[in-house]
Amino acid sequence: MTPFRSVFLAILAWVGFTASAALADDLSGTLKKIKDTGTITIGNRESSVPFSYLDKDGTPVGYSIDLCKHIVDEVKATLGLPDLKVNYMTVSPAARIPLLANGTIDLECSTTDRTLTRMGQVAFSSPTFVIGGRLLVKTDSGIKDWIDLRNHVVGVAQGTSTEQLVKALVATPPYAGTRVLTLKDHAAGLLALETGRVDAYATDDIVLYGLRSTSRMKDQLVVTGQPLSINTFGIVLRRDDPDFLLVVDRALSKLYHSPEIEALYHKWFDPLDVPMSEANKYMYKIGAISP
Amino acid sequence: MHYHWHWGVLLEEPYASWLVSGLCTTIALSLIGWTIALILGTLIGTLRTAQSSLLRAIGALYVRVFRNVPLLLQMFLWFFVLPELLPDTIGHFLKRDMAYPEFTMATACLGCYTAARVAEIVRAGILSAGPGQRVAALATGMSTLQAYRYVLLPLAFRLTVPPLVSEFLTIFKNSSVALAIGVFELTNQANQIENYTFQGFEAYTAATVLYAAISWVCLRASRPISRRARVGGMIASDQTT
Repeated sequence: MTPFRSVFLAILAWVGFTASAALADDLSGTLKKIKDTGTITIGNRESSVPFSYLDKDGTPVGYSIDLCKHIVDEVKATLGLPDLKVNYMTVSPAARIPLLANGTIDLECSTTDRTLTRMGQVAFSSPTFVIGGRLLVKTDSGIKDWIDLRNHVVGVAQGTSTEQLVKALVATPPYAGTRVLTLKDHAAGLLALETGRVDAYATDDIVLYGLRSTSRMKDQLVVTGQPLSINTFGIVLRRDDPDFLLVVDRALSKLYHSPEIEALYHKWFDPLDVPMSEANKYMYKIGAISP
Repeated sequence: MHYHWHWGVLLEEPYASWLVSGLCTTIALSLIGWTIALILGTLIGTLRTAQSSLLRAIGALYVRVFRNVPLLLQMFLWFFVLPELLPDTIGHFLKRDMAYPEFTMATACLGCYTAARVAEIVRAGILSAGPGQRVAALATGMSTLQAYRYVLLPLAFRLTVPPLVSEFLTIFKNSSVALAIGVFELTNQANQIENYTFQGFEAYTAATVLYAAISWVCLRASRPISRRARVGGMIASDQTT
């Protein structure tokens, strides 16, 4: 080996070493944490059917959980960690932000509305589902759309975006005589509708379909009305972590490009008789960002 | 921690208004509940010291039922179960025509629950006044009602001001259970701010400070009452609050 050659090889080795070191250094935030610990922790819900809930064996399953599994696969490929360990942690809505902030969970996979105010605290993935505020009514109530609520009582759940919209809507003159009853949660809303405390229950259509499927009088209930609002769900991650966000959105984009997303939709939403809305079809097209 | 602090959220609209309205609801709920508790509790506490064993049994049953069932469960029973048990017209009124159904039911529930606790305090006060007071009052020619009205109850209240004050502070904290049936009191409004903004630490800190402030104001206000109510020669007069 000539001296020239050995110097050349030494330089090559040095370049290669620093390049790989630089690559490792480039990792920051959540990706660095995942690489260092070899684990990723997903926050799931206990009973957000069919998005994120525990099945009979206590395993987290659902539409959002399946999306997160695709994200985990993308993280594995990006970091070259085929043996990445995936932990699940059931979180309540009140606990999710502190647990995300202190690093206990890395992703929250459930039914969280993407809003600008919330984006001050967290980052959201591309939209994962499109929802619209609609009405659940009894089939014999004669209520077909929002305007039929005149002189009736409509229930809303506290803290939902539908609550504010419905309250603003019924404050307008055509809705004279309409009353709004604010309920603690969706279960209380269904109970109020079943027991006649309210004539209609308003919230996101996907929740209404879910409530109807669990109701003891589901044959007498129907989801109706034009969507009052359009909102999107997203996967929640820590703010100011653009590299991780890119991996998450890339995973969703790849999934939306493939026919697998349709199969996934039917797997989770057919049992609830939820047809894929036009808005959802377009959302998948928009979320399938060009590579 | 990757938490983005934003204390300013507490001053932004609509969140500031939510906190103020939550505070007002908490105070209204507690004060009305306390009025119910004081009236009903005095009655039940008196029954518990009555000569008639039937009246004593009625008082004891009330205290047992309301003190032994968790407050949260009582809230659910009042709001969801009671209207279904009553005749249809009354049930329909409670569900549909009554103004502020959640607030009204929560107030009634909180009042009846606290009444059981006040009853025990009043009973203890009457008993600690001693059998001599009752006998002496009756010996002066008072009827039983007059003995309670002019001798036993006034003494009982003066002796039990400190525990009554602490019960009064407790009702403010217990009022937060009303969020379970959808009353927008302070804790519930803090929940709502968390849900809208994800700035939970700020919202719950504000609620904590407001609860502490209520307690502080009540304690300060109760001091002159405690001082004036002291009964000379009784053990309770030694207390230093």
